[in-house]
Amino acid sequence: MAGISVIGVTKFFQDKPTLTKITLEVQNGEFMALLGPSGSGKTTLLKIIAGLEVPSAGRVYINGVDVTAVPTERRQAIIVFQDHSLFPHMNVYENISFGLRARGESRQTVAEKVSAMLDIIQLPDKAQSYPQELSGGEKQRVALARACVLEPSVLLLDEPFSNLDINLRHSMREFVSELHNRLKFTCILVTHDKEEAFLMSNRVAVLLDNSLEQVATPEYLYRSPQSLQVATFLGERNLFPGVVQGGYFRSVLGSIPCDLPDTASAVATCRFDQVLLSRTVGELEGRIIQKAFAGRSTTYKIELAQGTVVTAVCGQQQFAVGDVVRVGVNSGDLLIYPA
Amino acid sequence: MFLTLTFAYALAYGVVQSMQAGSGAYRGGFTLQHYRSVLGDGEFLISLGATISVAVIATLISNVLGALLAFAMLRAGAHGKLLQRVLQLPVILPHLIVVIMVIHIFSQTGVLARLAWWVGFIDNPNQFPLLVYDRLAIGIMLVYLYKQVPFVALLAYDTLRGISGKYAEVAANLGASPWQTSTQVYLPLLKPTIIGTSLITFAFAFGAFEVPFLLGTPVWRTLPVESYLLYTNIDPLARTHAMVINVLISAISLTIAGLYFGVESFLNRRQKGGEV
Amino acid sequence: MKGGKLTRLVMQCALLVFAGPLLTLLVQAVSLRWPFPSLLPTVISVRHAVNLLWDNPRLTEAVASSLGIAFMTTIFTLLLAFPAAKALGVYNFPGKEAVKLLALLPIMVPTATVTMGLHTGMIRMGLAGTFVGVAIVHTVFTLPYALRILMHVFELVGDRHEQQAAMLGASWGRVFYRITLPLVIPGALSAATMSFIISFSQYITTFMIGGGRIITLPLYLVPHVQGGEWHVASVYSLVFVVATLGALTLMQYLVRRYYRETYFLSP
Repeated sequence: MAGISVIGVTKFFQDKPTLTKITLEVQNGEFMALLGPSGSGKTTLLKIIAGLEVPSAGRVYINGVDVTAVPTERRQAIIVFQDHSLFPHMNVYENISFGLRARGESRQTVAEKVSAMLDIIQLPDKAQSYPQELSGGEKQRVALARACVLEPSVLLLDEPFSNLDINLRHSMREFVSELHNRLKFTCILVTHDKEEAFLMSNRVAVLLDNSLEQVATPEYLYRSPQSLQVATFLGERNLFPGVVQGGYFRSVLGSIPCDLPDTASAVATCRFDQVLLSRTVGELEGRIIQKAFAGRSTTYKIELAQGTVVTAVCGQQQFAVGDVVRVGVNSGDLLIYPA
Repeated sequence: MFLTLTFAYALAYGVVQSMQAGSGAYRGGFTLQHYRSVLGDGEFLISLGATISVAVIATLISNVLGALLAFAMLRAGAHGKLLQRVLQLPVILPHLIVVIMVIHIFSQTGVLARLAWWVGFIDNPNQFPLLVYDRLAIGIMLVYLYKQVPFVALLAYDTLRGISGKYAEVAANLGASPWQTSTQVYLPLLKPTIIGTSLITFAFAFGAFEVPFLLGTPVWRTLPVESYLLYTNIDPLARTHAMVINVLISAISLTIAGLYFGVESFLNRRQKGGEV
Repeated sequence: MKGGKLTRLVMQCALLVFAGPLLTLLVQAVSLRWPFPSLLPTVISVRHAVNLLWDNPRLTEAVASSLGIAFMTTIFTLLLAFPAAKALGVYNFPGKEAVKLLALLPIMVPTATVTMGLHTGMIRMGLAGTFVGVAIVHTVFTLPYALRILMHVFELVGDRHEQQAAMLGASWGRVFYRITLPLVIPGALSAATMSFIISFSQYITTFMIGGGRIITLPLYLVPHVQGGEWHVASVYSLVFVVATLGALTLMQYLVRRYYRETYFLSP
């Protein structure tokens, strides 16, 4: 039985589609990242699952139960927003205990659960503080505590780390992963940051242009993006336009066997780190026109004889601007899509 | 360079204000004698009591009704937004015109009286209860309500909509019923706004002139009206008493103003600590 | 939280209570005779109402005075409020809070009270009974509102744009005309509208400071109200409402036209 099932969900806002026929299954206890550029409807999907928006079409199931018509108060799907929305007129204790009190739990139980949660988020002595007195990271932790103390079966996170600075982001990511391992809820994390999606999730769902393009594990997605759009979105790829004729893809890279039907317009891509540079070995010849050293790796821009510019990333930095190098790509690394 | 302009302006301001208070003080000849005689005067006390009562009742009713109306507007969605536009009219209308409308409808020969005649409740105008120019200041209160309820409702509605967008969703998602959300989220966050409007409506009802002047009963007068009548009296002693009353009115108003600013800065401090 | 029948009922009642009374005004205005106890006027005459307005030099004079004073007040207000709002909104100086408080005071202290205090001063300055004098007194009461609005605008906008322009070598006048003004126009129009409306509906201030020599529309209206001439009072009230709404719409139209030509920050 799946944790969350979204079937054919479509949403219109004033005649403009925000989501088009989204069908997605999230396994019980799975951590899924919803990845996509800003404005692609990720937040809307999250709100629909949480019950804060009603889909124009389609159904939502949580733990096998059709919750499409169930109001948000009774769904077991809690959402944490980017700006944490802590109640400003309540202190930390009252914020965290809000849901428990709304349910009518006894004061004793509430105190125990909140105190346990405060320990988990490592803020045991901030119970009486008000949100205004907390730092960004602390506020986010309280917001998470407020949701988790209710032991929801589904936790929905809407870009919760975007407002935090880098180091904080890293520690918060670890924190959430640990929380997930500990409490074992089903989780969907919305983000536009690939690295975050890959780091934290079991599977990634890519949402582009209001529809679901691909759902796969991070490794698979990284190696084999399903379409040109996904490939371009994931970025860090070189694009080589060409044509497919008689079983071969012809472009500046030469002729490569390809099993696509003949098309006048196709694109081959490879990742920056799949471009092989050498002084002696490689089918193509080019000249280094730019070099950017970034510590762990160096990015080179190489201009090929035909004028095409290729970007390569490698760990070594033996080349200098102006050098003539040989460029090669393993044909197995090339992914060819109709354009 | 703007700074010098502002200082000049602020100075002019201060001059104006002190002139106003000053005339009162000078008239008193810097003695407290006049103050004592005014404060001891029975009629003054009646006016004071009446003015404060009317102001308090008007404030209470208009703020409660206004807040309730705002909640209703929030729940009504699109209709609420429509009403929001309609309610701007009473706020803009001058008090004079509202007075006229109230007289039209509530006087003994007004629209309601005629309806009563039609239904058979009364036979002649005198049987219709005196609602304007009456001892209970009902007419006056109606004018205040007509202007203040929309004022409070509009401000409260704005606040509620802000809360609704942010916190109400979260509260519901965490499992709170609509009633719980209303009492635990909306109401506390609405309190500052209502405190502000209460102070404003009280200050206004307390110091209003035109309305009680036109709709008041001959039996008693509100403080500002009393002051005016004394001021326009030929007897210079009456003039002095008028200024004394004015100083007292100003003192009370300034206290309320002080309260208002106090509340505002307290709230600003609370929020400045704030939210991203 | 979409409400049900009760909410709808409340909305309809509210509509009736707050929009309804205006209808009675309209009906009164066109009814020549409407004796108790008839529910509807016995004699309706629009022509009579129109005649009342047409051939009435005192009314025209009152309307003209009202408009004139209102415009004067608006100009005074803007002239004074601009620099003050800029200083208060942008710069920080000792005593700022005190000045703010002083400036916003007239909203809280009753009009009649302040006017009585100003009266003697005005007489001494020879301004009582003059248009300018009345406009000045009106300005005292419109300034706080205008200041509030403009302060807000200046707080939002700051002075980085002016500083930028000055750095690029623009003269003081140019900076004001080309940079400050356009950024502030929407707020300025809002402040102007408020000042106009407030001045237009002033009664006791004009009455006392005008000393009987200046008759504005409200002053013209009040005796008719006290005398129970409902028909006349209603007609004049409608003139009032029309004039105010007219001025308002004009200003809003100008703002909208301005907005279309420049895409500036929405407040």
